[in-house]
Amino acid sequence: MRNTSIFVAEPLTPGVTSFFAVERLLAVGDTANQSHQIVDLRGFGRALLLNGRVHRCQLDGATHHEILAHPALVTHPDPRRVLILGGGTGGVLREVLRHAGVERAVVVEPDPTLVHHARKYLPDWSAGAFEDPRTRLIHSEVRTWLQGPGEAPFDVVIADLPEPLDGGPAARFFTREGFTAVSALLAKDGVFACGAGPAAITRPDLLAACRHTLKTIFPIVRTATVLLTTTLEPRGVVVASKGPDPKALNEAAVTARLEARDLFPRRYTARMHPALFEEPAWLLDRPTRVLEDAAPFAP
Amino acid sequence: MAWPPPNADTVMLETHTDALTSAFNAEEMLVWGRTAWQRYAVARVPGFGKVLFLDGKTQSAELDEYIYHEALVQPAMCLHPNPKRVLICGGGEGATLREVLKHPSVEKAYQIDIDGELIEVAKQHLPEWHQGSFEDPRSEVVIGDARVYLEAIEPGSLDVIISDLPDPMEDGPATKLFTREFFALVARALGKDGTFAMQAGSAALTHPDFFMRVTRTVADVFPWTRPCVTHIATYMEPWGFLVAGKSVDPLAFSAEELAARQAARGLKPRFYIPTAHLALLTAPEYIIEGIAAVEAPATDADPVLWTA
Repeated sequence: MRNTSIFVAEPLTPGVTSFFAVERLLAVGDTANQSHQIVDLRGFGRALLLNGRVHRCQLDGATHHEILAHPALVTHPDPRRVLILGGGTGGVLREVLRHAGVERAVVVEPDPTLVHHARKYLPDWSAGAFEDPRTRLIHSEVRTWLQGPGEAPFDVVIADLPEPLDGGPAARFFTREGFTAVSALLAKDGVFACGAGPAAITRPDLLAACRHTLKTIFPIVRTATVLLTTTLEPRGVVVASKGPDPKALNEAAVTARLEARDLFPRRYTARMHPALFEEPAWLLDRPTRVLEDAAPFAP
Repeated sequence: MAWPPPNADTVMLETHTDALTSAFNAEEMLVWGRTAWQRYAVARVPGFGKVLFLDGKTQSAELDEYIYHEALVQPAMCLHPNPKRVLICGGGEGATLREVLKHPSVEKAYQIDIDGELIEVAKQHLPEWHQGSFEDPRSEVVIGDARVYLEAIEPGSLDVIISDLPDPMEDGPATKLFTREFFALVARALGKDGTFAMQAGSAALTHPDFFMRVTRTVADVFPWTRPCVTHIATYMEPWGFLVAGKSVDPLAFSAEELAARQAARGLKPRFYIPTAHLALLTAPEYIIEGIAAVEAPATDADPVLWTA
């Protein structure tokens, strides 16, 4: 390693810690619930760190944004009203707004400085999405907003929040009560895409528990695995639905929907859709439990 | 989790590229040394169980070696309607052999590996990997060069060939085992329904070039070649394999056909369940695009080297 003395230490498990070399530190922010940094990493380029961990990188962040947004939006036959929880970089918002039928996209991001820093240092992630007249940006703690007066209903809800590793207030989103609040905001055929942490055998517990907990609320629950390089582990996205089933869409059906919406994503494609929702054996077998406010996720 | 871990007696540092270094906390060093070909160490790492390091790189771990070895072996074995004679190139730990021997039709499983000393280390220290496979009466281990072995073999005499070789370094022994000439020998050794699979290096977005070029090279020789990608937790990367067939398109193999074949053979997969086939064979778009864009296959005169 040359010319740097700043590293991000990513403790993946008690057995291994990986060190990313930081070339430049660009922005730092802290709120009561979350801290963030924007840095340039050697080899991986610009990156957003949340709570001290690599959340998303320039190099393959777009893959993650596409798979958080498109499978759920494609699964819904006519998504018009979309809610994004977290996602203050605008990366998911940008993908949502590419669906021509979307009339309104509400972003609830707890950290206003994150949005400010992302617009300055990660401008291609949102690429003008915050200026789109369909966008409404709200700064609020997510769970508090969900239980407030709100502006339901939504056709699709997407959660793009950091892993709740510290047992703090963020953990209260990933509970039966938190997911029930999401369900209450969804319209009849509503679809919920929940970013649910690592999809790897080394750290499968948040994903397994979210999947299991969502099954107590939604009739259809499917898990997509997002292969990534920069996070050192794939990421899981649980798609929970009140009606439409992502697994019912074959390649031809996905192609038809994408074409009807004049949408041609590069990383999420119709070819990939059927395989995306094949759940790995280690996830199916994993012993788990229902997450609750009284007993939220604890790593 | 604090760094350094309080129980870190020995830290194994692995540098993936200059972007990233990983520190494995070895709570116990079980064995280490050097053969004529490579350095080796077996350490116990929390959460991973035993981990085998070769030349300072993680090779496999007790936690997830089954994912690597099933992804490597099972598609090619299950695709073949009646695999009797199988050859493994490399595969020192014996887990590749273990996966092959699970198929009851197998009459003979040859393993050709250049490093006999490492096989002895594996026999003694990695029983979780080989599970006695070296002692199976169907097994025959040959110490030598896989290229020389395939040059001498009778054409059409094998059903399945599995290549589990380290990525070739400059001037290393594996350089001539990743070229079109070598894969032509592989195809020549196989019968008409023959299948071939190999580990083909990292599929990470930062350094997928080796995997892409190897896949393109095999596709020059076999009628059907499909890239396979799955995440290997111990490598902390998406990993590339490939499966090739002389008479069948591996991608056309349905979950129902696979389930029936696994049931008929009494297989109990931990990773390669019927639905895993499609997931494994659906590589990301950057891999598909990259393979199509490869300019020239690897040849003896212009080999592909692992450089990341």
